Amino acid sequence: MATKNAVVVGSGIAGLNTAFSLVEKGYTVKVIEKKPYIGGKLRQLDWQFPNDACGMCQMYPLYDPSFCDTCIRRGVAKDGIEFLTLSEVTGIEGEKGNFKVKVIKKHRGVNENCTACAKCEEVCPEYRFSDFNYIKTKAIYKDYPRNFPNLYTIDFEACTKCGKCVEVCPEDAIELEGKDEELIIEADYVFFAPGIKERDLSYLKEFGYGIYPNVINSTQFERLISGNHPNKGELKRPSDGKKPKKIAFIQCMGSRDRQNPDCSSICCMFALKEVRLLREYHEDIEPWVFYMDMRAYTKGGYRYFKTTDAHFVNARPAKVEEDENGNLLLYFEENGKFRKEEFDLVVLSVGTSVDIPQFEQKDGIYLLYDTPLEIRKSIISSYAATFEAEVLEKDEKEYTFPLKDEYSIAVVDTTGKVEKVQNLKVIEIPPLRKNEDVVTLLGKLAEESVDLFVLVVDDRFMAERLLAGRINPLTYEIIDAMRESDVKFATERAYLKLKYRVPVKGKARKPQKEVLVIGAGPAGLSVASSLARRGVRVHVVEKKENMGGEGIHIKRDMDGKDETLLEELVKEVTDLRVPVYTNSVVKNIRGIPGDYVVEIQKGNENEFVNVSAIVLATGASPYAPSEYLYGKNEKVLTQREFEEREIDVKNLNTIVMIQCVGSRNEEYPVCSVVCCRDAIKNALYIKEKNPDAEVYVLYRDMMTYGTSEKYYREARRKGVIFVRYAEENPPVVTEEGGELRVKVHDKIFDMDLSIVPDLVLLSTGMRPHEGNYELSKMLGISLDTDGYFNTLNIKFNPIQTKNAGVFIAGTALSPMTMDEAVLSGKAAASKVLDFLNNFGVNQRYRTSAVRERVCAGCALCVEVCPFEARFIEEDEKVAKVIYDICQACGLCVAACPSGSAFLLGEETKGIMHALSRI
Amino acid sequence: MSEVIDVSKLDRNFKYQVINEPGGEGLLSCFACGTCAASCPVREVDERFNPRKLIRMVILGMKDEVLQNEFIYLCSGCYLCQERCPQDVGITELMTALRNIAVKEGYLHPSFKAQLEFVYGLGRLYELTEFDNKKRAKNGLPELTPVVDEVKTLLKEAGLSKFVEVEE
Repeated sequence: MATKNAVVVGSGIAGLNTAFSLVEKGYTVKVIEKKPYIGGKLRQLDWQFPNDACGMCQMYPLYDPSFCDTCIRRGVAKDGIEFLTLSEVTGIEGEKGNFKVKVIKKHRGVNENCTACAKCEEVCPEYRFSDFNYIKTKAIYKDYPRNFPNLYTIDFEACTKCGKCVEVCPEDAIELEGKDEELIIEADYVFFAPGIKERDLSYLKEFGYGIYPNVINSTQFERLISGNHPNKGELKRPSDGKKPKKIAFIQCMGSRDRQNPDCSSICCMFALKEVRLLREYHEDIEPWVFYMDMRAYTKGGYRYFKTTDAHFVNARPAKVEEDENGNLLLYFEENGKFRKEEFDLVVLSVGTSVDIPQFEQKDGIYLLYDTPLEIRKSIISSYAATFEAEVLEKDEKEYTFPLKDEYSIAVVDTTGKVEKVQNLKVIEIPPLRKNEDVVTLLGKLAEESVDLFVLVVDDRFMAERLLAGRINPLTYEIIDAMRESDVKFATERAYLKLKYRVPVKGKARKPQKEVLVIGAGPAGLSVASSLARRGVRVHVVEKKENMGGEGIHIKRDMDGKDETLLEELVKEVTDLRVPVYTNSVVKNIRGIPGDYVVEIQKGNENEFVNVSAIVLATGASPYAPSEYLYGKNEKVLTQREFEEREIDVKNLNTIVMIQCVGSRNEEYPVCSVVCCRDAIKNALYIKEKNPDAEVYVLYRDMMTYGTSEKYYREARRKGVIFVRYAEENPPVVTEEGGELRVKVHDKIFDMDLSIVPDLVLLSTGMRPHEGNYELSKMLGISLDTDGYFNTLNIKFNPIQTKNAGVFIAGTALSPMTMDEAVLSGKAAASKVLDFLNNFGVNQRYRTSAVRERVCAGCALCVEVCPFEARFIEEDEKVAKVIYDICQACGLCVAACPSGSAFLLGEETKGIMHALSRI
Repeated sequence: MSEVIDVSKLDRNFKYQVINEPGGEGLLSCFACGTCAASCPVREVDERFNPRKLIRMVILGMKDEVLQNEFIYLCSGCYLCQERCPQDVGITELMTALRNIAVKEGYLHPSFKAQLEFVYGLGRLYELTEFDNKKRAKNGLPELTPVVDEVKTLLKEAGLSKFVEVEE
């Protein structure tokens, strides 16, 4: 395998995922990070919407396995990534396949010897302002407990080089003198995954940011409430350290205004999360949220908004005033009444923009995105970007744990505390601190010809990190002397576990490059054309007669131009001669990841195809409305019908559009995302063809997030009238003598508007595809409460599913626009390539295995396995494990009646013997 | 309140008339966020001072109600709402534009009308009497004579004379 290099600039969530995906494609990756620690913005956030889960544990095991000694995901760490912190790219020369990336690596002041013991921090007399916790810290600092790399850093702008830290450092880790290094990195591809920049809100003088201490931005609040802030989760407001009783969250600060006209897309959900975080930790605090449009449009977003417990005020406050106690008085209007309300703390939901790097645009250099994205979308973007890098075939490997008649077992002691254990040989070596110590250890083991050993250390994390990837973990058991009350006893137990190790041998099996795509809509076609271009044989199954899915109904884009995206995709798929089975359905799917047999039914004929992976791009269906006289009066149409029928608008006088028809209600609490944009698109079209026509858009929240905010603004400026209605008081459409009449309650007047339209257009949105349930049952994956497919993780794993060979793309995931669907198709294609390239080639140690001699082939383990990692081999009638899928959860071990199922390194017999000593 | 506004009776071209009037250009940028409504320093004591509601009325085309609305004259033009408006509607200037349209369309607030009548009749807001000139002479200032005709011509040219109901 020829190794190639890629450089990823930025180590936030997008940069990390780009790096992981590149490693799977066979690259050696260097990640360049400006800050002293990797992780980007994610490090500052405790929880993520919309599942209120901590995000860091989704990322840690991937880049630093030693941190997660109890995590079952620890086996997923990616090798082949090198992180360069405190480094910045200064220039890129050369062409694709031959870039020379110039990097300046700043002097950290602390070397790899650092064990983060914090003694230096205690003696340091100088202070700096931390942009992490927004407080003062010492000049030698660490952002928070779980930094990667776990080293201190010196802020040389604050450091006076007094040398006190050098004196106390027990590890000789501090280097006050040192120069910035200039590096030149050779790379075949460069990916930019820039971070977001928070806007400086001090220009909003009336809100007092930077003037009143108790007015803070949302990231500052996130830190303030965090458990790893120096306050340790005790919420103290900045001015006097008192616990606030009432907190105001103000949305759209630094976005959707004169200076920053675009919507920042993420702040609504971000603020909702903070409110929930607050309710969870401090029930006694009363949160108020001031918003203009609640843009909770992401997967699960609307449900999240509806279940958030806060006082919501639909208004932008006018000003914040501070009193002598540091309390803040807010001026605002609620339900048409002027109000003043006192708060203890005001949180401004700060707008963000992407810190777009300067570089020459050329082939081989990719920018992931240029607008702020939520985690989910940024990961999708990173997958889609890595699709551009060609896949480097990985060699097949064998799983080995040598078969031998007898093993020689010894105790390796790095602490000097171990006495004689049974008749074991004790090898004493110095403590494991750096790489050289591991070399010593390996030398000793070879010298004494030891096969298996009990390693006694005083720092398990460090030892595991040093040993990772260098010694087969099945060959040793590790004992942390600092954590054991009786080291001798623990060593004995570990020895017993080693004594009963069962040797295993497995053969990897590389899958065929053949993939099934279900659905030929924009997302499905995007997957198919992308994969076909990479030499993968793709089968596309489409229920309808033609390709294009729901996309064929889209005639114009937001700018009013003809929509050609879909045409291009259809042409590409046709040119690449991808077999498309139209008028066909998937009748049955059997098999396991890497080897599925799919039964495709076309009319009365059934065809079987054998594929390695399946992409579900089943799309969503349009909602069929029955409300607002739809179907009873011919003047009531859906937005789509209006767009498709090319209705002559010259003779139209008044048009009413009603938003959120069949969406965002009790029955279906999901935002369909596209309907606000559709309404604005059609309103702009009407206004262009017939400026005299009056268009009323009756809406609840305009979902023109990101840059599409400009179309909302344009529509207003063209004279489209937007009337907000409340969910509990929807518009009423009546008919009298053939004349339609729409009544809607205008909250600003507290009066009803009565409109006589020539046409009523319903913005109907989408519903999940009805066939999703059948497919989910067939493939053993689950649907979310709304009926869309669940992926492994709603945020951090937005494409892959529990069934390792099944991937989701497009609106089968959640409602999204056509552009987003096409991008997610490309991302899914990228993940399919990663799957095909890695399946069966990675050596895994933490898996279950089978002692085939005692296996009766009862299939109980196959039944209980939640990951479908087990199957019965038909010739030998014994259970087999697909090591790539097994997560070592242990259910099979519990279910196996003959004791043939076991976990590598956790053999039942060894554990039983160890337990018997307690 | 469940009063019904029949939009078919409203003037849908009014909003375009306003954006074409100097000062009214920003009107349609409004997204009804309510910043102005809570900014007005008089709003606290007088519910009539509600720029958002007024802008809404303009956009919907409630021309008569807007032009006869006291608020456009009562607004003292402190610019607070204009400064804070996130969409650059230019509310204070919009008020000027609305007053100008009102005058063109034949609406004038009674207080302005009274003032206009003074100016029209006397050439100035306060009548010049013998007493004034005596006082001026005492302080060494030249005598003033009322300039009525020129002012009248000016007011006629400006189209304001139509509001004057005094007998000449």
